[in-house]
Amino acid sequence: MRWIVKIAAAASLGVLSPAMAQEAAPANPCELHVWPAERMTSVTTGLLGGGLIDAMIHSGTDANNKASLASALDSPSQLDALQSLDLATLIKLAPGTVVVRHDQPLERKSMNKVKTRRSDSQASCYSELIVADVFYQKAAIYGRSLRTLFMIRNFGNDQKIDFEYKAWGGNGLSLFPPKEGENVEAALGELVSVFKKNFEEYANNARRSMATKKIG
Amino acid sequence: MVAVLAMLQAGDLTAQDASPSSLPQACELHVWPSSGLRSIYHGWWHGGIVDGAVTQRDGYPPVPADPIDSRLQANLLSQLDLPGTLGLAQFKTVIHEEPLASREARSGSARLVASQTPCYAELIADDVFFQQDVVNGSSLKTLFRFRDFGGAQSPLRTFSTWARTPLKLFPPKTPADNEPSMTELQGAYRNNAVLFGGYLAKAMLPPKGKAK
Repeated sequence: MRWIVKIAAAASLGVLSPAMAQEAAPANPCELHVWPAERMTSVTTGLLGGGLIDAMIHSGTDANNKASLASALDSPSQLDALQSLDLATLIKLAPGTVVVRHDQPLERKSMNKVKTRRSDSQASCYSELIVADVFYQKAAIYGRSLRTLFMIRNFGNDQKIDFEYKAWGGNGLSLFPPKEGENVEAALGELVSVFKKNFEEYANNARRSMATKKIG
Repeated sequence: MVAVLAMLQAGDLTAQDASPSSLPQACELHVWPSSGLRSIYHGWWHGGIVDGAVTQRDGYPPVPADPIDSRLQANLLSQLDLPGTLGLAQFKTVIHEEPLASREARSGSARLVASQTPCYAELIADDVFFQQDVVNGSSLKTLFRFRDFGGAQSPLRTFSTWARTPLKLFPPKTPADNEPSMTELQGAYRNNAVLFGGYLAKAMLPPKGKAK
């Protein structure tokens, strides 16, 4: 009974775990499977403009930044951030599409190699949204920014990709990274809000690409 | 010292009073451990995979399985005078063994425990990282989140920051290193809690300015 209620409650929100999705009502066949990123990078360059010495000077800073990225944008937080957005409108999902969360990221090196569905779902209307990379950069002239690489793959009813769009979204940061011993709440919160902003930017470009290719 | 164990309520909530002599006090400091060790590696040619070491991915330094789980963290935290460290001398410490989901630890604006005490605070170990970079070596980093509610149901002040302690022995290279490296790791975890108390005290100081 509890299982049924759980499925009904989750389905009403359009959010299911992979196991639940298989048992959900077949009347709603469209599924969007979402994976978070496992690769996070920080590159800080000073007036030297990069290179080995610059990398050595900023190694500690970049390691600290990576820990902050990995914490603020851990897998549940990435998925929560995406699901807090109006995905249906942003990436033109079919009405009633069920979002299936995958807390375990895909292996980054397999992302471009595997051209078939990344889940076992047999849904007749199936698409994927994959966060591939989270990249923080600080450059002496251009300032601080967070860039995110997203990928949408639409399969339709088979194992062949009908539409794919992979691109970066990127926006500036004003609070991150925090100084040592300083309150980090605002700076870590900024990473999440800019991550969402990056997806909105990416989605705008994805919709343009869909319109060009007459998808959706 | 004999630890006093009490069940606060039915279910999985186990409370451990770290200061038994202060039982009659009404003020409560609730403390949660993190879910376990995570890892970050920063190298020249690779290193971007989060948790690469703790999940034993190729190219990342091997780390013993689950070296500082939530139960051990709760135990280490119970060994400290946390109220003294956080400037909450009159508070009774209640240590929870079950970690919080990151969503609960970060986004909640109400008390995490249905306590009506007139003075209530929370300390959460949100994330614990084994951080390694090729230039600066290894360290244990803990992201602590502190919320002081006073007598209210929403926090009056919040403060979160990283505390970092360098590691020289962890992860162990040989079986003989196992025990000293684990002792070092546990000492670093305790030290991070003390460091956090120092950062909190500093953050609570009034801003510097010219006296008028």
